[in-house]
Amino acid sequence: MSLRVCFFGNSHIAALREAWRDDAARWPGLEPSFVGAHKDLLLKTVHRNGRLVPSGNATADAFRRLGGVEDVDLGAFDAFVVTGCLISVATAANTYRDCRWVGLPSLEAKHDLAAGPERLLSYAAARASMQAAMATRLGPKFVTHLRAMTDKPILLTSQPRVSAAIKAKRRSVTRAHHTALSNGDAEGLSAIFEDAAARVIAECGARFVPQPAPTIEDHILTALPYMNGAKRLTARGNLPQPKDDIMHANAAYGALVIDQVVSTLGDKGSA
Amino acid sequence: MSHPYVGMPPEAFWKTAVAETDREAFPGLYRPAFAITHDTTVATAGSCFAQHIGRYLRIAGCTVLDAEPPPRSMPEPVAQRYGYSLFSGRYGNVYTARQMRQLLEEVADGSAEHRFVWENDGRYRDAFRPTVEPEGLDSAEEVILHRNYHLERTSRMLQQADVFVFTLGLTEAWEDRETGRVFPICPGVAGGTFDPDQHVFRNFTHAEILADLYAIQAQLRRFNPEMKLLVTVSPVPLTATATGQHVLEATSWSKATLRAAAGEFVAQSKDAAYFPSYEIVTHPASGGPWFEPNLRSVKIEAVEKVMAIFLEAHGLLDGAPAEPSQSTEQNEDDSDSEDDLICDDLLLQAFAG
Repeated sequence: MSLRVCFFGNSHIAALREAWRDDAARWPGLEPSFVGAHKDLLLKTVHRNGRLVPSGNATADAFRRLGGVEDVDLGAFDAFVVTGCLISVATAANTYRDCRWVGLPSLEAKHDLAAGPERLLSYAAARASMQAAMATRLGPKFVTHLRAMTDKPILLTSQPRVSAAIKAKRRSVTRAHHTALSNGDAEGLSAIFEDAAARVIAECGARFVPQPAPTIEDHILTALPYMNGAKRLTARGNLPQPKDDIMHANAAYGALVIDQVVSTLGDKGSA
Repeated sequence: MSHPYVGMPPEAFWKTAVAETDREAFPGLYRPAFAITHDTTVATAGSCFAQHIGRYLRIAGCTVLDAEPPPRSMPEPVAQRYGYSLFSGRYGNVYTARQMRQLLEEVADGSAEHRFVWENDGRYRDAFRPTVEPEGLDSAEEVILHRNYHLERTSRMLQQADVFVFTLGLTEAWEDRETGRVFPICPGVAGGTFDPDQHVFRNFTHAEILADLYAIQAQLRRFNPEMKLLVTVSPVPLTATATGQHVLEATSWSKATLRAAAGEFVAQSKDAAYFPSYEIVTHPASGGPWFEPNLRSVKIEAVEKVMAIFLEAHGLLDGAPAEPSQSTEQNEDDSDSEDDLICDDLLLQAFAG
């Protein structure tokens, strides 16, 4: 039985496309299309006669060059998957930079909460803050855009957590990650991210698919075997990511995400 | 002939101070008793109208203290929904002088009590600020944790305040019979359960409010002996009354009582002043009408007029943006400008039938 799925995404779609190119036989019956576009070009599209059509030259060029299509016939698919698109633990980490909520081990260990630089926040307020921030990101915006055009199932798969490489070499952009790891708060940070993401994606009329568990290390990182060898989102997919890239996952990661998608879409009542 | 009216200044006479004056600027209406400059640290509290004062002082470049600022990444609408940055503490609306007094006493000497944690359907709320956590918290212990944090942060904030601005909103409140502590909103409306044996209606008198204002000033001086107190009265009418009177009559009684108490307090107090925002919005001589079609929400133009008079008197208008903040501009497009302020007592409107 065939499963026709259109995968949309930004640069993170490359991992899925590489996985398909490497081992299509792993998913018998799956008939995927991969439509990638950088930055927010996916939003620069319109619904016309049942098709998702680029509304500008840049998007049209991205569709042609990266997906090999002029537009997307929405009626030709059983489901849609939006991958990456800035739904990541980084949003939760931003909130964690200057606040703590009940349940985090570091908070439980503090004796004088009011004296610290971090603010005490309720879990609900922290989650609401993350939800509101995520709602402005490409993923939910594109899901909302797409939902207005189709009633078929839509999934949004998580952007990969940053690479476990940061444990060996600290980065200023992942300061909150380092703090969470050293404070023992990483598990709580991961949990609130997945809670907030699931809610914000559900509000858009889709279903959130979390990062595959085997790829996660220390709750908020992606294990190196799923990051090394990641490819850029180019037409041929033959350019590697820069060595200091900590954001993009590889084909092994993409394969597990496709496994999840197939499994999820196999469930009745998915999104 | 000689008599006391000879030689009085123009603002003493209706003709020169009102009928024939510039009623947009009302020169002489507000003469600051003490200075507020860009270097002054200001704390605000009170009814929902007090939010305007803090907001416009910030626009004017003043230092408005915030005991519990939201996380930097929290979008403003979320922050407002969770009670952040509406006032200088995350205490929510403080409608009565009694509520302000008891809050300051608790900040100075007290700690959170389990008896004032409200439970509804497995969610827990702080009885003295039931709306700052819209979904409630998971446990009574968490409410206590958050309240003690709130009290400690408010204490630290007050120690830094040069001027405390307090806007009196209501005379009516509901009191816990056993302890005498008042709630910002009737139990059962935004949490808790109303119990006629436990919850007593109070309509505070002039004498009680006056005593509370003195107590507020005394408490504030414990945090900073030099702290000045600026009192205002909210022009916003009552959403509902429990007096049995018509709500229009109850509003007049309430505002007149607050205004009289504020006037007497300021007349007898050193380092206290009154700013006539109430008069500027409600008096027919001030033009208007300054209320929205619901006859309750104050129009943004009225707020601008009030705050322009205030800032001008303090020499803070120059250099201040002529327009309110971006968020206020956006709200001007809303059909219901009440969304602009967080007013807990609006919850009573749901029971208007």
